[in-house]
Formats: sequence, structure tokens, C-alpha cells
Amino acid sequence: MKTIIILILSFSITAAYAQSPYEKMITERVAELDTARTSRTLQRLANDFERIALADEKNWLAHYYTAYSYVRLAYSIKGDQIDVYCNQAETYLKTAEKLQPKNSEILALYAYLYGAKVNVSPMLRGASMGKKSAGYTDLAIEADPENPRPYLIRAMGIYHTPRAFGGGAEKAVPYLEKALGKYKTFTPASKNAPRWGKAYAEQLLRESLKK
Amino acid sequence: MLVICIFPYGAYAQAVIKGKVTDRSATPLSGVNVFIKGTIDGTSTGENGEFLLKTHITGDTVLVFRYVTMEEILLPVHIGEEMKALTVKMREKQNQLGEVVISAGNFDVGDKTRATVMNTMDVETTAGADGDIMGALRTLPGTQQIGESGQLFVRGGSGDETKIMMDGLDIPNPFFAGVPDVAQRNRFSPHLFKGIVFNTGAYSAQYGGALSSVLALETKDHPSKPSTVVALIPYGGQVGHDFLGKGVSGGFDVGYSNFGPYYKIISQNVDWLKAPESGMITGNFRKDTRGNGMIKGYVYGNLLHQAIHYPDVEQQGKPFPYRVKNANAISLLTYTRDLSETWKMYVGYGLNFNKDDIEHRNIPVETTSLQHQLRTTFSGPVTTWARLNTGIEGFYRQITTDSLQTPEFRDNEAALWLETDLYVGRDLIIRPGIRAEYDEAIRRSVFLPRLSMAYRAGRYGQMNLSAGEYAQKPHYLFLAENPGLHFTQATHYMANYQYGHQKRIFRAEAYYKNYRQLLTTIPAPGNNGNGYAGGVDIFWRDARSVRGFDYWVSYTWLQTERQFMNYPVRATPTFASPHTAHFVVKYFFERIGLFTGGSYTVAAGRPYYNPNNPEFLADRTPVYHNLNFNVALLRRWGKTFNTFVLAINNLAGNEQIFNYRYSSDGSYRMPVTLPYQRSFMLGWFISIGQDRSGEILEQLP
Repeated sequence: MKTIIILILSFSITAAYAQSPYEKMITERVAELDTARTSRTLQRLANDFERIALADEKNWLAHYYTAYSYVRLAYSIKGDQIDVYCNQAETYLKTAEKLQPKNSEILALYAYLYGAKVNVSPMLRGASMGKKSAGYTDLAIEADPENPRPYLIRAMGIYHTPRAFGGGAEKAVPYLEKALGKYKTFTPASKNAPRWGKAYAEQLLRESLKK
Repeated sequence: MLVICIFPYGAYAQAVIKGKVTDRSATPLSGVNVFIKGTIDGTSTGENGEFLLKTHITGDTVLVFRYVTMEEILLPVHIGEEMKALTVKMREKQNQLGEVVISAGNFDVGDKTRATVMNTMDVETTAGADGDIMGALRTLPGTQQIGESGQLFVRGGSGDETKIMMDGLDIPNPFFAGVPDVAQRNRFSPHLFKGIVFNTGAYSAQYGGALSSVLALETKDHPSKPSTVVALIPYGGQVGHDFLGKGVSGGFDVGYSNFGPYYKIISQNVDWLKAPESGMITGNFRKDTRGNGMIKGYVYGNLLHQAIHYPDVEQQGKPFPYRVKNANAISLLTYTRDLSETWKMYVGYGLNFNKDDIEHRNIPVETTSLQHQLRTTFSGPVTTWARLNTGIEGFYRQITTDSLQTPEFRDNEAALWLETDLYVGRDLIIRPGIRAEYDEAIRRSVFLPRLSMAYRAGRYGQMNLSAGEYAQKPHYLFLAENPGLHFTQATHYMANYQYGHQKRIFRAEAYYKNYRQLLTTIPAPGNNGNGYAGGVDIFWRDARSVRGFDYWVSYTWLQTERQFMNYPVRATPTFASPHTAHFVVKYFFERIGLFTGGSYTVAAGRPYYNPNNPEFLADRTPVYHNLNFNVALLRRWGKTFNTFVLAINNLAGNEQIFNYRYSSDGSYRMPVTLPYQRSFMLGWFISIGQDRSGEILEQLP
């Protein structure tokens, strides 16, 4: 009898574990994402998230983080290759959106993604992709006004727009302050839910105030 | 106990899979995702393409290799204890390589970033192009610097041998009606177009009626935002508004210009009796329809009046008034839709009206022309490796003029074409095509076979070969009174190589053309002319090496001779220079929103007719130099985008002599030059709502 109880117990423990390796791996990799800087690390993380997304197809966070890693990669390089990473990010983000429609985080990531696409050729794409990005920022705020990330993305867009076109560091400040205010009160919906950006917002604010 | 032990038996036996991943040319690929299908057991390859995968899974399974730019590989493996190191070669994804496209002879001006020699913005920002599409295209190899005309003279062809189309429909009068020896701009603002395809030869069977070149313009779809634009320039102004609704959009532009006050300040070489005064109105309309379809409408109307004192060389340059009044109207209507998942159709109707009132030495001549065109095309795949393009078009023309014995000339014309793209493997496309044309006035038909192929040469390179037969009708002035005339014809042969990667483009093209049955006017109109043209065109553009800095260089080598019109013998025509080179530079100071640009063109002299020289067209004009400069300052105030522009053409004030006109006895000659020494332009463009600052430089003098 005792052995049977142990047997059942050990089974159920294995079963409980069998569900969580995905979540466990996401938690570990998300922690790495915060400090990842090189494109090599980002690519490795993108691959790890991609494997989870492919194995656990209904896990929107796995798709979300795969897309997020690729967007970060897109910001880490120059030229035509930006589009390659963005298109890859877009496919995963679309799947995430199907699993979680109207999710503020997903909409904000779209805004971040189209912001990266502007960098391929700011002269040619500033107008079209910039607008697309702004449109998604609005949608993300509408879906969850307490989400700090759309404000950060808007601030980044303004920060990198030349002054002559109505951008510049000073104009980004109010949005950065707003984003940081939201970061203070923001609590992620779940353990692995998106929470990135705070440190970057702080850094950008410091740089903006210096100018 | 035993039962339990069997289950996680692998947990203790960890297998190791090792290997290396490279591309087809054995270059290691780092960052490749290597994993066991359906699991999270995997790893990424390192810098040297090597990977080491530890797993508890054993037995028969599938190993997956994924990388953004490569095609996925599924490799069945048996995971055991002793495994050999794997070597895996990945292939580029088809879309990564970019489609092999037939590009011999055509320059694609679009919004794509890959391997387009120019984008629509370049039309507006190239110094000296004056925001004129033709001006920008004239900095590409293959074109001639014919400063006294606004037309495009391509690879030894005359300006009349280039045809201009908008959304598949002919524009017979694309330039403002002019006075002699003064270049006229084309009527259309570049901001109307999302794509411009400039075919310099050996073009597809869908184009006809042009012996040397076809310029195909494609109008924009819906704008992204409604907007209003105001332009203030020294000699006029323009107001436009675009509206946008759900699945429907449209807009209008109204403009007025009068060069009178400007010519009072900037002295001109031309003796103007009436400086050009012109009023323009355009409207456009787009509506989405079922089946991913769209209806597009475009209307254009213009009234223009200008007059000069035109010197008569036979009377020692005594001036006589030359006056032109022109009315032009264009209406284009197109409908496109999907017939199925893969098949598309297009129907277009074009109406062109033009009325010229020309008065020279007090003799008025009035010419009115009306042209209707109906065109329809179908395209789609027939099999996985073949794609069909087919279409039919018909024209009706009616021309009334005082200058002919027969005051009214009517003509009907029909054409049919069929073309297939055959995909032979992933690196080769072959495109055979045929076009048949029939003309009522000529009472004959021509069959024009064409063949093109494109072959991928390396990852970013491509080679093209093209050949074909081309035909064009003689001008109606000759056709109306000489019913025996035939089509003029040419055979084109062309080979090119193109390399395009990361904002760097290199292109070299060689061609040979053979002209037959060219129109001759002496002793009587006939098809007794012939000729050839051959040459090499080279283009290099680099927007990558220095951030914000963009430049291109082009060189044109042309050898051509022909006997046509009133040429007594075969000779190099007056519109052909053997060497032409362009240098175009642009720099954008993004932080302060300041754009600067410059361009320099140099061309060898062109032949001119000198009755004192017994050899026909043996004289050459001096070398042509042209230096241009522009600067634009962009500012946003509130919801308005403001652009201030300063542009100076022929900055160095070079005397550009295009030709000499001689009296028939050879005792007097008059040079044909630029109408100005330098041209200046200072403008302020305001757009409200949408940033239309890109439209800035298009209104230059």
C-alpha cells in the first residue's frame, strides 16, 4: 500500500512538473532578457522562446517573448536585416494576438516593432511606419491605460525623431515621466507577464534631462 | 517498482548530439536554433556554427534546424549513445534571396529598399531634377542631356520614341506645350506616383507603340491621412487637399503660375513676349470594391499661354513673334480586382484631349486631338512554374488641324499580347512573349516576338538577357497624307549584370539596337531610313558607407548612326553624345532637418548641322557642363510642416550650347542655349495634417 501511495505521489509530482518546464524556462529566460545586450545572446534567447512556442502552441507568452527577442535584435542592427528580424517577430506576434486578442502588451509590442522598421530608412519610412507604430501605441493605451510600455514606446519614438520634425529629447520627457509613474503602480498579471522597460525608461529620462 | 523504473529510464542516460551548421558556401552559421521536434530540448549554434545538444530523449526522432534567413531543415536521426558529429548545410529562403526579376533595360523607381536604383523621394531631392520625374531619370545611364527639350532621349532614340503611360494608359501629351528651343516640364507631380518603371529598352510585350523606351507611372493608392497642402513659390502658388474615408479617398489640387514677375528680376536669354502663365486643376478618386478591387479615377485640366520673339536665322536673327496657347485635359479610369485567389484583372479607360493654338509670324494654326483608349489585362499562374500575362487594347484617335490638306484624321489601332514567366528552378526565369499590333491608317499588322531571361548570379547578383522586336507608327502629320507608310521598327538586344545589397547598387548593361524602316521625308515621305545604336551603361549608388550620405555615379557610352527624316546620309543624330557622366550627392543633417544636395553632369559635344561643312553633321558642340545645388530646411510648427527650399541650377553659369541653327546659306548662325544663365528658386511649402514635406522640391523652376 505504502509503495502504491509513493507511486501515485511520485506520478503526480512528475505530472505537475511536466506542465511547468515551459513556464520555468520562460521565467529563467525572461530574467536573462533584462540584461541581454549582444545580438548573440538575444538570438539564443529568441531560439529558446521559439522552442517553447513551437512545443506549447497555446502559450501566448512564449510567442510574445519570441517576438520581443526578435524586435530587440532588430534594434541591435542596421540596414535591410532589420526587416528580416521584424518579419520574424511579426509572425510570432500575430499568433500571440490570435491567442490573446486586444491585449495591451501585444499591441504595444506591435508599436515597438514598427518603430524598428522605421530605422531601415527613416526618410522613406518615417511617415508610413511611424504612423503605424503610433496607431498601435494608441490601441495599447486604450486596451489598458495603466500599461507603462506604450508610453515608453511613444517616448522613444519622440526621442529619436529629429527636432525639426517635432521630436527631440525635451518633448520625450513628459511621456517618460508618465511611463515611470505607471511603472511604479504596475503589477504584472502573472509571474511571466511582460514587465520590461523600467530601467530603460529611467536611463532615457536621465539622458533627456542632461540635454 | 519495476514499472516505474521503465518510465523515466532515459532520464539517467543523457545523449549528446554534436555537429556544425553552415550555409551553401560552407560559411558557419551562428545562432541557428537546433532542437528535437516537438520538445524544448535544443540549443543554438555558436560563432563557429557548432552545436552541442544534450538530451534525455533517445531513439528515432527528428532534429529541426531553424534560422531566420534559411529554409528549415528536418533531419530524422536515431539518438543513441555513440553519435557521429553531424554536418548540416542550410539554403537561403526563397524570399530572402529576393525574386529573380527581369530587369534588363528597366529601372524601377519604387518604395522598396532592395535593389531599386532610385525611390520616389529621389525625384524630389535630386539637385537639378527640379522635382521633375524626367529630370531625375535623366541622371540615370542611357539617357541623353538634351537641354533644349523636356523629353527623354534614350539610347540613341529620339524624344518621340519614348512613350509615357499612367496606370497602363497612354499620355500622348505629357509635356507642357512649349515654344521652340525651351525645355518644358512634364505635367505630373511626382507625388502622384507610388512606382515609376523606366524601360530603357527590350521591354515586355505589354508595352507597344514605342521604338526606344517606355516610362510607366503607377498612381498611389489611399493616402494614410487626410491633409491639406499650400505651396508658395516666386511665380505662383498651389493649394491641395486630400480626404480619406472608409475605403474611399480622393483629393484635388489647384495651381496658378505666372513667370512674368520672376523674369523681370532674373534676366533671361529668351526674349519673352508673354512669360508662361498657366492654371491647373486636378482631381483624383479611389474606392475599394469587392474582390480586393479598386476603382481609381484621375482628371487633369490645364490652360497655358506663352509667347516669345523667335529669331529667324534666314534674316540675321530678326525676331518674329511665336505664340502658343494650349488646353489639355486628361481623364483616366481604372478598375482592378482579383478574379480568384491568384488571378487578377485590370480594365482601364483613358481619354486625352489637347488643343494647340500656335501663331508664328501672325499665321495661326489650330490643332485639336482626341484619343480614347480601352485596355484590359489578365494575369495569374497557369501551373506552379508558369505565369501568364495577357491583354488587349484599342485606340481611337481623331485629329483636326489647319496645317494639313486633309483637315481631319481618324485612326483606329488594336493590340493583343501574351507573355509567360517560366520559372526554371529557383535561379532562372524565362519570359517569352508576343505582341501583335494592327493599325487602320497603315492597314497592316506587325508581330513582335520578345524574349527575356534572368539568372541569379550569387546571393545579391543577377544577370539578364533580353531581345525583342519593337514598332512605332510614324507621326500622324505624315500618316494622314501618306497612306503607303509602314510601321518603323527596331530590334533590341541587351545583356546586364546587377548587384544590390545593403543600399549599394552596381549595374552594368550593354545593348545593341538595329533600326529599320525609319521615316524619311526626302525626297517624299517613306520608310527608307535605318540605323543602329549600341553602348554601355554603368551605374553605382552607395547610401551605406557614410551615414546620411548618399551618392550615385552613372556613365553612358553611346555609338549611334541613323538615316531618317531629312538626313541625306547615315550620320550620328543631333541628339546623341558619345559620353555622358553624372555625379549626384545628397546629405541629410537629420538632427537639424536640413537637406543638401548637388549634382554635376558632363557630356561630350553633340553633332550639329553646318551647311558650310560638306560632311553632313560632322561638327560638334562644346562639352556640356552642368552643376546644380539645392538645400531644404524642414520645420514642424504645431500641426503644420514647413519646408523652405533654395535651389540653384547651373550654379557655375556655364554656357550650355545644345545646337546651332544656321541660315541655309551658312552665313549666319544662332546658338541654342539654356533660356537662363542660372535659375533660382526660393519656396515655402506648408502642409497641414500629414507630413507632405517630401513634395517640396518638385516645383522648382
